[in-house]
Amino acid sequence: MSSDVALVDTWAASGHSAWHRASALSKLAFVAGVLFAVVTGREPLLLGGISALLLVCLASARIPVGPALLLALYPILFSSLYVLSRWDGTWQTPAVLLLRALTGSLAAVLLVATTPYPDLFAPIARVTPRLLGDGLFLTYRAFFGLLHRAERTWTALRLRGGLTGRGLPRDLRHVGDGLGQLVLHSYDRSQRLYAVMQIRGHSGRVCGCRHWAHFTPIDVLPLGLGAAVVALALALARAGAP
Amino acid sequence: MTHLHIADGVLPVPLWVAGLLLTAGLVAFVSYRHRADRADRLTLLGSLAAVMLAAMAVPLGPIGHLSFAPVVGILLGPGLGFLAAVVVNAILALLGHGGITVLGLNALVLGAGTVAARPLFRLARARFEPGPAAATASVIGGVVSVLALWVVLALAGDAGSGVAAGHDEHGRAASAVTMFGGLSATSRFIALSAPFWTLGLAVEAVVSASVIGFIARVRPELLP
Repeated sequence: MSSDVALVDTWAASGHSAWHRASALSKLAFVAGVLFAVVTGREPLLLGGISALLLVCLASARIPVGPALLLALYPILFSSLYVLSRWDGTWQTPAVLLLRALTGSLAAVLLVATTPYPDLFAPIARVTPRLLGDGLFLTYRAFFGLLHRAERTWTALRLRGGLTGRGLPRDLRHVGDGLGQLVLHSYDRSQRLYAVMQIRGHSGRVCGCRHWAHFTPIDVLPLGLGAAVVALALALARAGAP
Repeated sequence: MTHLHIADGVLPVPLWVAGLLLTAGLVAFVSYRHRADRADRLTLLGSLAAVMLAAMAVPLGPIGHLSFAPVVGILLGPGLGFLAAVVVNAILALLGHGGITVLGLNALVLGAGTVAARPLFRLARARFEPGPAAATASVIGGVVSVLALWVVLALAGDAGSGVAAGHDEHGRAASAVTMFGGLSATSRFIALSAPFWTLGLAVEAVVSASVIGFIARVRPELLP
């Protein structure tokens, strides 16, 4: 999971495709359109079609489709018990439930893989209380500060025989000690960050960037596709209604 | 496996809308309560939520991982601990690891264990050393979290997905009668997931005891 976050962040920061150039707000609107279709859609064909469209969008954004698809498959793994408990003997029910999970997840991956995190979190921070909005920024930022430290800790644990695989309770206690070190490291980092914020004159809001609402003609792409997905879902819902 | 990342489109709309509204209300309440906090509480919230994300990378088999919610709850307290659960779930949802529409419900389920952790730790601390007290708080907080999930699924009901399904003459899902002896979907989920979350609770308890025991030895002033 740690490497997934780093991978997605690299995709978002290094790309120059039309999806990368579109504003965060129009991409959020596109994702909202896809989620509308996910929630209202009951046809496996519709959901499969939208998933295929999202894979094409990922490819057109020059995001490696294989790793992106693997990321999007996480919820299917987690939803498998739920889907199994709801199985009614038909193929449609598990197909629709799994396709809904995959489609929503692919839309989220497309959004984060083409939007740098300051642009993505800024509109969210506008509509949430300061603690939550700033908490998102600081968590994401702190996570990257922690990433290398965490990897070094796990490597050291393995090399020094802390994770032998021979005794689970013993291994877990060592994992706990490693995590304890990460907690202390994070605590010290948070104090340093606070000191830096004070020196720089922290005003009570961490991010004030405005790129997220900077509209250009390229925004027609996510907005148009989002509208098309919503229209298709509505049309199919009306056609299927008694 | 002490919490579950429910995906988009699986639960009925009124349920996840209610989850979003309840979470928004709790976030507003907590933010109001902590409005006068110094900014170092905010930086600590960010740092510990980041550790929570890093801890979730420790796998527990094919469909489980640590939640680290008890430790974060003990260190941050109920209010900021709940905010950390919301932040972590929001980042996970954006990574496709759990639904965006069900962010509220996922946050409530994970947050329930986080909120319960510090009060439980304080109660247990009166009788036990920090490590065992953290294990106790972790197990009871984990049970609270699992119960919250079961409440969500029970509220979703058998027709929660909104997918047209085959039913027998009593209105039960067809395969439920043959495969699970007529159990409801929620009961089936509990039966299927119980081994995973039992293992998850045990693992989480050992890790929480180890982390809090380590902090008690090295920096005891950080503990409540």
